[in-house]
Amino acid sequence: MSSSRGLNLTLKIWRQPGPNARGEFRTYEMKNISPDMSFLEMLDVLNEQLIQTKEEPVAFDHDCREGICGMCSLMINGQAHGPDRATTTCQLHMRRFSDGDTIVIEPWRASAFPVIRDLATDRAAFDRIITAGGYVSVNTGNAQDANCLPVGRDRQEKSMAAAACIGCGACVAACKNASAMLFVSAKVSQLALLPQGEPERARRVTRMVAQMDKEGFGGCTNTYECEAACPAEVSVSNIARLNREYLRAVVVSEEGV
Amino acid sequence: MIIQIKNDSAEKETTLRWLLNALSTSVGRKVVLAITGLLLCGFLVAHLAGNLLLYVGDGGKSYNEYAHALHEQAALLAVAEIGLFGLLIAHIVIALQVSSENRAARKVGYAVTRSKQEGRYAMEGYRPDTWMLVTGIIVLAFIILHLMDFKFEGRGEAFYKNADGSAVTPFEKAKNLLSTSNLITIVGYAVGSFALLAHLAHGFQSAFQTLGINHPKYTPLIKLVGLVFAIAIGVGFATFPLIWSMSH
Repeated sequence: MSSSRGLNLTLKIWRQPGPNARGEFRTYEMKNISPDMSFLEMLDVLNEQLIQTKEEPVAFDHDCREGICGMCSLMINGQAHGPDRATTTCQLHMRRFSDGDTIVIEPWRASAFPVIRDLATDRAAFDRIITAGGYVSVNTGNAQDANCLPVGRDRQEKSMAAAACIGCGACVAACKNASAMLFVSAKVSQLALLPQGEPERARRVTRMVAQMDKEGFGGCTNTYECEAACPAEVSVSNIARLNREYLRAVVVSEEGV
Repeated sequence: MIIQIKNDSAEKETTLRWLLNALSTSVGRKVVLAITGLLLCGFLVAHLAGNLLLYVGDGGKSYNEYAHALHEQAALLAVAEIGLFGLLIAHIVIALQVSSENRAARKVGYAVTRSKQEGRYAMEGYRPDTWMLVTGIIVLAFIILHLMDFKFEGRGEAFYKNADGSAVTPFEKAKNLLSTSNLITIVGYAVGSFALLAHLAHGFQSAFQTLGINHPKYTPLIKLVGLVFAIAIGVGFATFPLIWSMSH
């Protein structure tokens, strides 16, 4: 049984026709929105209305709509992915809002994530950081017998928890410095914790940090807003591990920095 | 066929380049900020311990003896002063560099921001980590005033000379400068001490995270020690303008 009463909402949405165009907030009134809709479905309804009135639909990123792809974004009332913890925008539902609410919707704001159009941003900086070293380049061949390469359970769990990062960029969006440290630390940690990542450990962290700096992300001031905003609940203990890995690479490793 | 063997001249010029390169990245610079900050914390402990001699009720005898003993070590004192100055300058220069880069990382800001950290919403805007640059600048102003007062003696003869023209004892000097009629010093020191408290409340525990020390066993302890340390140092120094000055 769906809820009987719809929500009437006021949306203030950032509209920007192109990367270098001037943007502005535009206000839209939404009538009778079902509380069972997801946030993105609500935006779909808005876009249907805009098409009918011959206004350009709002551009926003989305793909799987089941919280695993990392494509959706949106700063909703000043919070990355909206008010819920451990939730992506696509998994946020309108029942979280009340009738008569005003909802301010902005794109991720970071110099390294330029706005493409409206609420869609270019997050290719993350891809370039991964390309710089976030991989294992040894040829592993076929999958080995399950117990050939023993990995302790606590290490597996930590690596898996870091690998939960979906690369959405909420950490950058929520950080007061637009720092990418939580993302980079998750990508460094998931490999640093496993034997497969060992051979390229030092090279990986130094190259990924260098690329992160080159992209123009800010530095980490340990405010931990990233951790609270992360839909995959990646822990800031990974940032400490990144710092450790970096120091280890600099001080101990024979690989050139 | 000549096989060219790459000589190692490229490696020779890298004697310390690797270190400089590493320290100039965002992570490396934060490490320098953390290490200089923690070393300066060590100085604060020594300085507060020395100042606490003002409370020994012997008319300033212990304090004067301590001050004389310190100043007799001219060579060591010079090394210590240059070292401290170096730490402070490194800490300030890197902090300014890091904060200007952090601002550049988000050129267009948000219309609305709201924290998602539990318990933080109520504290929004009042948490010490939001104010590190501001509290740091206030502490710097306090240090400059303090050096003007005590080291360079630039606040007028009356503070530093007896009626007969001879120099006052260190205890008398502190009494003259921290008198209720010298409001600049009283207010400046009180504000500076509390700004130091706020700065340390974030800085101390943050330095450990930057140095890679985050452990379920020790991190809660480090955070607690950091808070206690910040309060002890901040309140400790604030007692001189606020309590000691009134009792003299």
